[in-house]
Amino acid sequence: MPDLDNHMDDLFRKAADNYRPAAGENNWDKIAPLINKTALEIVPPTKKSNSVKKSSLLLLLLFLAATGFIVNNLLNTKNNNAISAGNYTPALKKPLAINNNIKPKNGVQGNTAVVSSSLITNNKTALIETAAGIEDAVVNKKNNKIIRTATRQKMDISAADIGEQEVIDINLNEKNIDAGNEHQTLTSQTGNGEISMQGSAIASNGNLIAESKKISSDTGTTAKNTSKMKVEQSSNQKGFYLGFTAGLEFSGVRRLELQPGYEAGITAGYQLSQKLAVETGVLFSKKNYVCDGKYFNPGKLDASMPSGMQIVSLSGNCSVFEVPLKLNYNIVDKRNTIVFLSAGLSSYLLLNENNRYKTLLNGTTNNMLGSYKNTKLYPVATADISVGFEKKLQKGNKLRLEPYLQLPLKGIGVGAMKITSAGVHASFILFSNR
Amino acid sequence: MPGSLENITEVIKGCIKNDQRYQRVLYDQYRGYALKIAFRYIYTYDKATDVVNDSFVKVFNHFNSFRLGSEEENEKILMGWLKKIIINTAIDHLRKKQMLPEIGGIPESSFEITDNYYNADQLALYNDLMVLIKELPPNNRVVFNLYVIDGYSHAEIADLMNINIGTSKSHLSRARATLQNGIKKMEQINYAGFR
Repeated sequence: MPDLDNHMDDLFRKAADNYRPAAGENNWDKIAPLINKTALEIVPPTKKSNSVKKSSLLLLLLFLAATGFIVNNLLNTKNNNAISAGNYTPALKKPLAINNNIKPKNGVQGNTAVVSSSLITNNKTALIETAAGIEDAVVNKKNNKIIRTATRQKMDISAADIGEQEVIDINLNEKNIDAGNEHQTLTSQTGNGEISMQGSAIASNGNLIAESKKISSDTGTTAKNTSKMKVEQSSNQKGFYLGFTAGLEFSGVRRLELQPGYEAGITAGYQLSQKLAVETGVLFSKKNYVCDGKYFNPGKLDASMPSGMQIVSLSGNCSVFEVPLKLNYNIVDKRNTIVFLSAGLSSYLLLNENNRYKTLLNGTTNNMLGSYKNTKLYPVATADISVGFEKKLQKGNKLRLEPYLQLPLKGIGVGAMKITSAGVHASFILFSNR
Repeated sequence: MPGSLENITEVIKGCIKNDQRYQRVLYDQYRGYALKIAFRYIYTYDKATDVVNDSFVKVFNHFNSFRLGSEEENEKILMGWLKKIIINTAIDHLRKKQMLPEIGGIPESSFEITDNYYNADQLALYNDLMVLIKELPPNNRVVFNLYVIDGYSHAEIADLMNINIGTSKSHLSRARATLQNGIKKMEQINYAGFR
């Protein structure tokens, strides 16, 4: 049988060498116009429609959400600023009915409470100034009654200590007292009991500004000697925080066009000091890219590629879990805004990779697909730098926008491609102790 | 000098420089060679001609990747390169048709007929054998051409056609069986003397 096969093969080889197809017409005129006009596309056309639309929509939603938070926060900030010490508006000095509910202790005179009427919305927290001291009060708008107070106590100040622009530490002891209960009052008296202190302090996002006035116990008038105390409470205390992060990013390999992708995940951090925080997290990232063949290492594909085949270009995507580790350093820390610089390293856990190759073999181009689902860890895959803008929200929460740049330290995937990414993270930071 | 193929190396160098005069010379010289290869893979003459045209366009567009050898080797290198491009283009064409079998016969006008009395029968035999190959199902035809005539290994065929090596062997086995039956039929109509 093999002999028969060999004999037959020889016969067909001979036929293939010697058969004569019809000469046909010369098609040079058809070919000539096509030469050099159908050269290879270095970069295959990319699908922009869906990914760009989705990314744009996500970006728009993020932008609208961020704008809403910021505008809302700015409005609240204006209201809070209106009652800062030394800047009372006439309206703020208007005594309200609620001062009847505040009963001074130890017979201190002048138990006037000043509440910003603009702050009295439903169950809003307001600061009231009494002869006793400064109190946070939750005020019911309907009946102007104090629901509860948190007394900022104790100001142990001797008369001799009260000088112009003198800074005095105030130990803040907050105590919630239900309405109807007698609340604590603050008294500060000199040794002979002739001078009492009337203190006012405004706490706004951690900045406590206190004003103390000497009040003659005999006349009840305010003495000329007024001391303004500004007590700076650290806006960034030590503590853990947690955030939810989403972002739009653009990835690319070397100089080729950037492709949109996205990231989402959880951020966790620890505030080391007033200015320094360490942060990590887990982010799922979908990276799309276009790569020239020369930046793709085909070493791992050699076994499955015909000899002589070249990869001209490829487009693809990969899914990774990113685990960043970075340090944040606050360069601006204002009442409601923080600007920080961040630098760190990210490790990747590659989950899958899908590539569409454009190959060249003996002058013939082909499209090939490759899907790889081998999970692989790439420690310290990128160096990350970013600038963060944080807007403080109520209850210690923050809204963060963080443009970032990820520079590759090593290649990832079957082709060891060095993917550069840039984008913007939007984060909502919760339960911060700052 | 453009217009004739006195020095293949000079023609190749002209093609590398994108000189259409040399490209025309090369096309005229190797058009028949290209068609002979393409027509083994492609069932109809017209489609085979299209494959040849596409192949030459690719050849000329990629001549800058051609690596010259010695004067003696250049023609051989060129022919081997051209052959690979034609085969790949033909397979691409068949893939686009999803390797579906063609319908319709092959007209006699697809082959050259010689006036030489002594060679006429032999040429007719060769042409008939090629018809047998062309009438194979596309997968079997491609594998048979690649393995038997063009000298590819099963591993290379598997890579080229994106199939398993076992599948390649299976196609070859079926092709041989079909061709044996075809030869037997031909013997019955008095071609037995050429065995």
